[in-house]
Amino acid sequence: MPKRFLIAAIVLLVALAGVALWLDRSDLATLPLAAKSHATVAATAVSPGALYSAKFSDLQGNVQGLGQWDRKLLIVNFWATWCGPCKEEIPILVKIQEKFSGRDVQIVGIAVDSSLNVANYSRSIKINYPIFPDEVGAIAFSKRLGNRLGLLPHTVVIAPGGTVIYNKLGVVTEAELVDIIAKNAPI
Amino acid sequence: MSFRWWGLWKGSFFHCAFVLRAGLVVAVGFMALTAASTESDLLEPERAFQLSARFSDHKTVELNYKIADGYYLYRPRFKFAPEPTTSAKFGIARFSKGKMKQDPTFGWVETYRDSVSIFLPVAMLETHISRGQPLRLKITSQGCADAGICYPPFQQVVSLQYGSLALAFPEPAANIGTDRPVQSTAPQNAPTSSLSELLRKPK
Repeated sequence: MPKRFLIAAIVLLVALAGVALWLDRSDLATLPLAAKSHATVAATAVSPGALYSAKFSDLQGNVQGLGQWDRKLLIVNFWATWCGPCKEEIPILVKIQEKFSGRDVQIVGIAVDSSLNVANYSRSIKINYPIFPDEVGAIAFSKRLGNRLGLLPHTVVIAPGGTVIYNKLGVVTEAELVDIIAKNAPI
Repeated sequence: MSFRWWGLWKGSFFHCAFVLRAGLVVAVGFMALTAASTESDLLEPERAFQLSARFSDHKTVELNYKIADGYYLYRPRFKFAPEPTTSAKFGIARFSKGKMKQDPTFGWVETYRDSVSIFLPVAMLETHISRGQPLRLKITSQGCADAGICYPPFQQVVSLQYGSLALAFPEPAANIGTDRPVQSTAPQNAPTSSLSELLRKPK
């Protein structure tokens, strides 16, 4: 009887240690606080065709389609000038666009905001990627990508060909984007 | 107990520190799992910011928001408008005291957690009252969650019955003659403050 108890105790300890080691390797314990507080977005059913056929007007009034970047790793960031967390991450996006300008990486910002607000803000911090202000269409498109409540900020990464590989509500970190780019946009 | 089993037990005992550490990692991992939310964990704006409205007196609408834990509303983002726009006039809203917050968008700004009460001076168009139509008040609000996520400007329309005691103002001159005769609904003992006075001063 004591032998059986001992064996059971050892098996339990080994199992516990195994689970602990698995969790230790899974990066959960090392995620930065900001990343832990984000909300994941349910997988979207939007087809590549629907993604790339989306069109928005830029700050100069020119209509542009997302399809022009179908061979690039496309990072779509939904934001607004009235959204504090959005403003926290825009400098990160500017830095990423600059850092990876030689790679097939393209960031676009779709703003749930007026052209005037967006133009003033983008001038003040020198946004180096295309910005599309669209108070109505932006939210609708974000919702189609799984953002049920139309919350901001919302960032979606689309692999060349149109597969959504990353979909997040909340502020993105530089490390997250660098990791995604390293895995999906080789030099 | 044989020497072999004793050795195993002894080994396990001396690895107690490792087991404790492993247990700690399990606990931390579990906490991280529970801390990470999903989009479905975030409340609908109607539930995050629960609104109730009533006439607190004949010339004031009282709005009360019950705000969910971890969510907040911005004072400068409130807007009020009657529907249709000519049916009522609003004075300057008075808000309960909030908390100042340094915000990347608005700088130092007053925000509300847990609850906020708003008192909105209102005068109704006389013909609107005489037809028994309710006050339809469109409220725009905007807030965020501590999770680092913001809600887009959110519009709600409340319909309030005010009875015959509401403070009234006459039909604009250009419209007189196009509607049926106006019947004054102001009570005999109603306060004598004029509309301009009402709209100038917070309650």
